Amino acid sequence: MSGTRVVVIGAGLAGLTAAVRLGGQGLRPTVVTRGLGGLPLSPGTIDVLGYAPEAVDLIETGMAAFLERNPAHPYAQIGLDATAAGIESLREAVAPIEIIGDGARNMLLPSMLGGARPTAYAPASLAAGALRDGLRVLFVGMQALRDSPAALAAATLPVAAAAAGLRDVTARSIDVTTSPRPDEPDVNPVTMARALDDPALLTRLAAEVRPHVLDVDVVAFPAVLGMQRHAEVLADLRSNLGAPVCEVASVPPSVPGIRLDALLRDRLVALGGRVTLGAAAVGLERRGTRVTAVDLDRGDRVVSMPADAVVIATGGFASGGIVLDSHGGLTEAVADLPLAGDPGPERRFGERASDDHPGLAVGVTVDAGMHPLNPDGSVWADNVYAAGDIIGGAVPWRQLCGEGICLGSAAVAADTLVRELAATVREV
Amino acid sequence: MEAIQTEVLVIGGGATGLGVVRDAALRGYDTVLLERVDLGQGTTGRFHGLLHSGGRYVTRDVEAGKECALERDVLSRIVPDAIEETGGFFVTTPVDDPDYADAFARGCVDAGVWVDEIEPALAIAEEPRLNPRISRAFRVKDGAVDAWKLLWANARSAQQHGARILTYHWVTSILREDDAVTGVIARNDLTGEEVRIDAAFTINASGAWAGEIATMAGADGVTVVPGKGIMIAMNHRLVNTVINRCDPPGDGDILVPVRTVSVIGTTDTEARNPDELEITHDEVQRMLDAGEVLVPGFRNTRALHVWAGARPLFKDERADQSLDTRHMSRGMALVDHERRDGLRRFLTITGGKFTTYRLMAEVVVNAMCEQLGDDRPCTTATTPMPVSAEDGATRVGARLARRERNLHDEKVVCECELVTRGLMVQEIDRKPLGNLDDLRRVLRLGMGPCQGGYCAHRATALVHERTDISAGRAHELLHRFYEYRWLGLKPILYGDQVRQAVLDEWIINGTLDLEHLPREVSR
Ligand SMILES: Cc1cc2nc3c(=O)[nH]c(=O)nc-3n(C[C@H](O)[C@H](O)[C@H](O)COP(=O)(O)OP(=O)(O)OC[C@H]3O[C@@H](n4cnc5c(N)ncnc54)[C@H](O)[C@@H]3O)c2cc1C
Ligand SMILES: Cc1cc2nc3c(=O)[nH]c(=O)nc-3n(C[C@H](O)[C@H](O)[C@H](O)COP(=O)(O)OP(=O)(O)OC[C@H]3O[C@@H](n4cnc5c(N)ncnc54)[C@H](O)[C@@H]3O)c2cc1C
Repeated sequence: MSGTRVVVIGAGLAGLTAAVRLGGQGLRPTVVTRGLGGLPLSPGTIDVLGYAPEAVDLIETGMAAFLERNPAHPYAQIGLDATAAGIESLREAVAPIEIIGDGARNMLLPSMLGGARPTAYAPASLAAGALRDGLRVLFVGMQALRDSPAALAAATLPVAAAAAGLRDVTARSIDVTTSPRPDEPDVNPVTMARALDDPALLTRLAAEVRPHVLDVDVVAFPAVLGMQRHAEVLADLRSNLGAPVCEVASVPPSVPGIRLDALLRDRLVALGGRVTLGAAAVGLERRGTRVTAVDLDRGDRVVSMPADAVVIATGGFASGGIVLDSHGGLTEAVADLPLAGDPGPERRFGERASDDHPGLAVGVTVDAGMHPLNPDGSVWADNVYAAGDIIGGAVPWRQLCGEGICLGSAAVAADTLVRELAATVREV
Repeated sequence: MEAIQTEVLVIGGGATGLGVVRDAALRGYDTVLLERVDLGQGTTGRFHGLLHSGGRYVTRDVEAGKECALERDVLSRIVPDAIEETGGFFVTTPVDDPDYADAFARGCVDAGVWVDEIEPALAIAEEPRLNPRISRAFRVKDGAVDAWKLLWANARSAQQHGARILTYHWVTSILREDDAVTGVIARNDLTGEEVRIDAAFTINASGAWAGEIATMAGADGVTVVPGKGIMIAMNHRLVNTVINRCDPPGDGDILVPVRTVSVIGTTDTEARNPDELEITHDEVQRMLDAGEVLVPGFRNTRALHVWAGARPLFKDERADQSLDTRHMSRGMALVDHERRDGLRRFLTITGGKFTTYRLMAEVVVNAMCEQLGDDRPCTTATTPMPVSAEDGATRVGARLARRERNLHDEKVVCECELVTRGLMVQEIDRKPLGNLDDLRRVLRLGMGPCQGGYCAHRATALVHERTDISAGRAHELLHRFYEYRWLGLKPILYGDQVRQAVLDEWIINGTLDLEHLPREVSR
């Protein structure tokens, strides 16, 4: 099958994971993408189901009850086994970073503002902050960063943890001035993370924090603890401070997300796949029930890229996978795939910001093999698959289920694709 | 109950009320102004941002045209840093009545409104995005006004002359002794306490709410009809000159470049209540269609925010109009309650426009002086206002230039609007009880493309750092800020702004988990 041409559209978590999984099964997929995906913007946790809408503790039971109430949710087609399989693909791909979590229970991680945020899996650096009864946290604020509200986080956490059912969580905060560019008031988190790869700067940071590490179970840093040398940075800091150390996930740009993104890409290239940036897919060419090529807008011209199978992982509204135009029309951007779940122009958005906005759950409907479906339930094309946010029916930023859907659908899409491609090759 | 004494009490902290308090303070009166929320939260913060040349009115209301023509020059002299002299065009588009242009040109001459007809090709050369099919073009002296900057400058000027400006003071009843108004009772919404203000004279400058206040004083039948209009701020300056359709006033016929955005507006429908101005899908569509007529491709540009304001349209149900408004155009309404209701020491000033607010203030304070038998001349037209600390921020790029100078000194809190930590801290320290919207009105925090998604939590952390509010209270401020921003987002969510809204959802709920943070609702 090495001569087959598989195109994955979109380089977010879903597209990259699908591609890596295809690569792992002997294919050499090409990922075409307009820009970067959402992963470098995401906090880096792997959410499966956080709120249903009540906080979910046991994931399997929570999921079952949730799906009973939300039968059109993507998980109804994906299933938790596929999500677990997707997690394994991710784990392998990002190997130097250990992904903690067994998928059975959510852990509660301190959020940047001091909330107790549920998630199923997380990179070890974040998971080290998992809340438990009696935990004493020291939040370290870094003055050089824009997003490091340690004092507010420390004031919030005990209340938030108590509301989440934990006893006696306490927190303090300090602000430190260590910076690779002391003469500049603002340092980008990516710059900071790269700078902390330098042992000299790290030593300075540790020296500034160390005097405050008293009666503390975990020292919580902004998520900037190293880029290339992340693992060493963590280990050095832990031994230097004599206390466990964790990172707290932050708003974009998010270093934990950037680390995962980079490792996934590296892995894909190692497997013989490739990523083409600046290539927006603007159409699929069909012959009968199959797609034969992807039309790519390369800026100056549209080119046709032949394809034996296509995974559409262009994301939802945020990435432009689904477009709402000024007249109120909704379209899937690549191939005008049928969309489901539109409550109509008057009811797409709630009256209050904090309402659920059903219009934002609009997306593609898929079968259990991740084939996009027509409104009558028939398969849109035999060799096209959808993965990630483009699949409708979820409000992932509220249900905290985004990564689980991406990974699960990517695993199913990749596996179905491989199976079906093998079958057609045999037929020919 | 706290008690305050003053000579002149002004109700309403919009342009008119601030104009009045400044005028009276400059004439040497001891003054107090009460505003139920923050300054400029009435119609004055919900208007179009146009400093009228007068051109818009010349065919229907010559007086209004004249007043605008004079007042726009006065304002650009006394508060230049709140005004951007963009200039304006009146253009005849293919859908406009071609005969209107001549009537317009004659009207301008009659009203003394400066006008200069130019070749359409020249207008298009200056404004390349303008509809290429315009057939006539006139240059006028329109400008763009930063309402908030003007208000703060006005307030500072009044305060320098002793005025006390009390925001979040809601007038709940008016005190009378026999046939005279002697003051008011107000509720301080920051503390929940009642305050009594005794005043020798009270001026009602509460815009669309003026009927309500007059009724409180016992003067019935003063009806101010809220004339609702919506406006949409489009990202970027699509044009650098104010563009008016050369046609009888209609929906969406003006595009105003205001600072970093262009504002399309407006509509005119009668509302029931100035506090409940709904923005419908249909109205938004009409604005976008109208935008296409002025600037082809308008619908493909990004809408940032939409808001609605209520024009105070004065209708006196029983009084003799000629008596009260004899020196004025139909736009501005001075109600002399002594003549009308036999009620002394009380005047109402309403209607009008932002552009003529200074004149309205002069008119009402003159009437007060007449009633008091005081001969104190008005000096507001010749006294410049204090320049704001933030140099020339109405100019596009001014903050960027400043940022370049202080790149190495100050942290940025709001990237879209380049609001620095220093500016934030200064404002928070000045008003420690304020909310994030109060900061927004002064600093434009959260008014750029991200609408608060990136900066609001930073602002919250700063407020928490600088004041003694609890964490729960801080999260409540943050929550409320998003709720209020949403009101102006929901009706225009399409294209890039939906992408932004979803990215903001990912940040606010996905990452920060805002809805599950502990919140404390106080007061
Ligand atoms: C859609 C629209 C577009 C416009 N565009 C322009 C334009 O481009 N150029 C222009 O020159 N004019 C324009 N105008 C007109 C202009 O905005 C208004 O005429 C002007 O802002 C009115 O100011 P004001 O101070 O009289 O009223 P407001 O700004 O409404 O002030 C009244 C204040 O009284 C307060 N108040 C009410 N009740 C109480 C109480 N009980 N206690 C204490 N305070 C109280 C309110 O909160 C409010 O702040 C526009 C108007 C609208 C509606
Ligand atoms: C010339 C001009 C240019 C503009 N440009 C931009 C721009 O570039 N970007 C942008 O985002 N916006 C822009 N705006 C719109 C602006 O952000 C506001 O939406 C608009 O000015 C109305 O402002 P507001 O402060 O009254 O508050 P809004 O944002 O309309 O409403 C929120 C405020 O209302 C109060 N409030 C609302 N409901 C209640 C309630 N039930 N009880 C108590 N209080 C309540 C809240 O205290 C809060 O302060 C512009 C406005 C103008 C006039």
